[in-house]
Amino acid sequence: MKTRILIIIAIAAIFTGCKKEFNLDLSSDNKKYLTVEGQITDQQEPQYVKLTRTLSYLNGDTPETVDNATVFVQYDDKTVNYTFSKDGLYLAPEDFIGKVGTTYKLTILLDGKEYTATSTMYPPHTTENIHAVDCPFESKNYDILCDLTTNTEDDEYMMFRYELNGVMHTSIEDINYITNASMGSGTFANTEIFSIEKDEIKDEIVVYNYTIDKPFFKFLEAAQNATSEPSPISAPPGASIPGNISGDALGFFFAASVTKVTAKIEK
Amino acid sequence: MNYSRLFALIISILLFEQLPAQNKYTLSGYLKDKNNGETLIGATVYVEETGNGVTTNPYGFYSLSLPKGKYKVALSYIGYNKIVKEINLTSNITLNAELEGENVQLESVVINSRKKDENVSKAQMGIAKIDSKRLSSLPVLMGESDIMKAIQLMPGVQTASEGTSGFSVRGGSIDQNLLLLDEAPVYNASHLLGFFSVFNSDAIKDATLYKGDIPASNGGRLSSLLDIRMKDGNMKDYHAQGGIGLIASRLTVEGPIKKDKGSFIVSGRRTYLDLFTKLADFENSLYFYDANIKGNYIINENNRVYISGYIGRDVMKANSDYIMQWGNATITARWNHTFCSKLFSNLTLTYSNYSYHLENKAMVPTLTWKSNLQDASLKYDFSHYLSSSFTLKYGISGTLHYIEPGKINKGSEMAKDANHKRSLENGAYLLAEQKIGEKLSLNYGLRLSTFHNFGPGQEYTINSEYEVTDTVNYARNNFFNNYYGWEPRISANYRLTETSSLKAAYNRTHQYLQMASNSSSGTPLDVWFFSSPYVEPQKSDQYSIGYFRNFKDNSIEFSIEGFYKEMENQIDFKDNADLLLNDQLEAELRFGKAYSYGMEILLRKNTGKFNGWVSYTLSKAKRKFEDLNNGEAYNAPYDHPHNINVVATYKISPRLEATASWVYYSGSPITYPSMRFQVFGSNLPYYNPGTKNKWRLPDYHRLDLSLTLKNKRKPGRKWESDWNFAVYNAYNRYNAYSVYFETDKENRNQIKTYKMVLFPVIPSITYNFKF
Repeated sequence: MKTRILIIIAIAAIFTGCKKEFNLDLSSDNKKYLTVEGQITDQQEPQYVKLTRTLSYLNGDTPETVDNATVFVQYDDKTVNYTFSKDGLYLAPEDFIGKVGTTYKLTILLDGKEYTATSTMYPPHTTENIHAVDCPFESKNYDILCDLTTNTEDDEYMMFRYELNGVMHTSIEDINYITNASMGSGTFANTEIFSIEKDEIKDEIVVYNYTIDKPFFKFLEAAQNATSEPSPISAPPGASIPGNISGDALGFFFAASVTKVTAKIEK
Repeated sequence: MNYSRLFALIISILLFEQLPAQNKYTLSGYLKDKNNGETLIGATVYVEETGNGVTTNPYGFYSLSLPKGKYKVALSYIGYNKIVKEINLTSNITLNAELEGENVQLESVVINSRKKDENVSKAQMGIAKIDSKRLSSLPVLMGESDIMKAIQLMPGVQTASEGTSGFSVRGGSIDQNLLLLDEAPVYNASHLLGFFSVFNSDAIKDATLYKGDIPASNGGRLSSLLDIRMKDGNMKDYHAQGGIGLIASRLTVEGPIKKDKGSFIVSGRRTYLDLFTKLADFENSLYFYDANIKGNYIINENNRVYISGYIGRDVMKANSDYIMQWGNATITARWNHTFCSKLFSNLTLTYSNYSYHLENKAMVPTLTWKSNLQDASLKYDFSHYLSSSFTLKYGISGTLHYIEPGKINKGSEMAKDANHKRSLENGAYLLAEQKIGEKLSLNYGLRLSTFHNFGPGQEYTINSEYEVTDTVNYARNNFFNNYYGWEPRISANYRLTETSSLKAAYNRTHQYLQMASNSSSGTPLDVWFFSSPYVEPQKSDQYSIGYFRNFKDNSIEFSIEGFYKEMENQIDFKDNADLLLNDQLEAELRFGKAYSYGMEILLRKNTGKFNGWVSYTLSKAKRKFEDLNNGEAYNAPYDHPHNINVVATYKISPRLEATASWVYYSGSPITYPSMRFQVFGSNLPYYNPGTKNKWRLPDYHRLDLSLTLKNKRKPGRKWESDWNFAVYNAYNRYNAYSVYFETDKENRNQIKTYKMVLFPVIPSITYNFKF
């Protein structure tokens, strides 16, 4: 529920003190677990799976890529083979795009092990009237608001990404996730979806609304909590981030329908 | 059936008491402060000829049985002139007395205004006391005296998070402390997220923290009881006092309703940072206000009534579109009645409410979110002074609990109303305070607690995988789940010499109500939840032993206490638990055990120009849950193996007094990631199973200083005032409350490590006055 997140963030912001850099010796073994980042959307865009391996936490190297895996996706008795591109990236054929209502099963064969994950694509949401207002919690920011309409009475889950000046912002820190759980169905006007520094915005923003499933929502929630600044009222660190890949692999594979809206921002 | 046995026992004791005690008469009465008529809690009545002595109860009442004869009775209280009265006891006598303060200057350096050798002579152990006078001299954050912060300077009490009101007692969690304000429970004692407590020091007469040996008269929490009593109000004259600080001001008015018969006190506080932010055209605001009100009236020598209340509210607004309010309200009505000189009773009715309200007006339709917790309680306590060496205390209580975990409205339409919960919690107790011979004192008692969930309500069946498999609905007034718990409480004091004693205690407690929070210090949005068919009551067994020794006419106290505590049916939460607005909260819970042990050393100098205390606590607190941390035991969040507190006050001159306090404790446990993995360009942490709370933050230490300068008092004027200058964290140590890892914006593979710091050096100035 957006209100909840907004207000908790506001409280935390008020009472977050300063941060001081310090040296921490965190020598630990790297077990080189497989990491999966995969997505299927209903858009004409590359459907990909990226495979890398874990590093020791404070190791500053680039993650090792996995280039020798066999990757395919199955749905409705069909199989789509992914082709290795480069740097751990595997791409589906260009004509493959996802369909709403379909459940996709990802399979990765690597070093004699099989890793699998499934995700279902749900119908997209109507996202309208995107506009900016001054952020009440941070004067240098704009809040980006929209009118959001849910599809059913059931709990629905969404992820928002944005594109500014031709640059897509997809990192965990930049995305937002929303659910209508506890709020029911209907149109929610002026739903806050982003808070962005005013200087970053020129005159246009492209907003992508991904309809996602609950497991991916929980993954995003845990990932964002794990990377947010702590405060005395936040949960202490140490909570694992729940992925949906079988075995000891980390990461997530998700299917999502997408609504894309371009909006002029009047400053 | 157990009730009937207990009831029969009480009746038999009452009947037994009606039999005439041959040749023995009772001396009873109330001791009060001559200056303002406030009853004195824990003052001493000592009979020189027999060596017998008693102390006054929380209402200032005492009772002592003696053979017929002539006696010299000394009435005393630290900081007050002793009165010696000669009495000829040929019948039951009522002796009320008013003690006069030795002088104002001396009062201000009293640490513990109680019986001089109470720590050695009483059977009870594991007690920490702070009175309002000591409280006002401690250096404080932002100039606001705070009982909850002062309590954290006592051995065995660990702070939950720097600067917050939450505390842990002997390895217990913050929701295992029963906080009573005039006997009404306070569920969220924090203002401004814990940086201030809800207890206004101007309105507090007395605060006692029971760390282990909790009296049988109270129950419902595992780890401690913090019993806070409000002032009754001045019986003699009208007075006002207040203070003007940097972020808050307070004002208290008190006076007689009818001289020596009744009095009132009204005390209020408000922070005003929001007023300055408005002037600066800054649209966000955060403030709190609270008020304490109390009145009492002596109807006759056998009957006195009190009514007191508290209301407090924190308000946060952003741009007038986002509003959040939270706060407590309590009401207490009490009736003191002495049936006879040996039988004192107190009937208490309390109501307590904690609620919060959030509103997002920017969204259309407007979203509102409300939650509240309510308690209504009836308690009847009796103190039966059977002889000078035997007192029997007994009583019953019943509390109705009602929780609305959360209600969401969009516009006028109800979007969600999480299951309301109802329960009834009862208690009955019998406690004996007995002195056997010259050396042995015993407190032994038994408390029976019962807990009942009743409808209308909805409960869930959870399988071993923590999945909800069934939903059961219960009709109105259907008592669908019951728990019973026997709670023996025993403590013994063996007096080794006039100035030293050995003590031991055993204490069992049950807890049926707990807080759903996985933050270290709690938040305003935390909800409480009951024991239920799925959630068994928490249970604790604590064993403690101690050696107490006083020096130099009881002016220096030394004690060393050891404890071991086992706690069953402890509750923790799964990773990323969803605790708010969750009807199926039970699925987020994990159950296990906890244990703690430790040693507490206290050296305290009570009087003189230079006074204060040094305490050291060596302790360990662990938790073990089958489904957390690979089933391995892990450090409790409040585990600080080493904790040192030093508080020193020096009276430089009659007008000038300096206080310093230094706090040191081992760094809080923390979990660090072992590996990272990249998803969507972000570095996400991976925590090795079995490493929960394996590491520690850097050790914490802080020095606070305070200087109080009393203004010259002009002859004939009632106005008194002083300036208090304080510095929090005087040497500006950057103490970490957590560690934060941030990915470098230029190099996404580089992670920087930061320690998060809340309070650097913070000076404050407060002007206090009274007239």
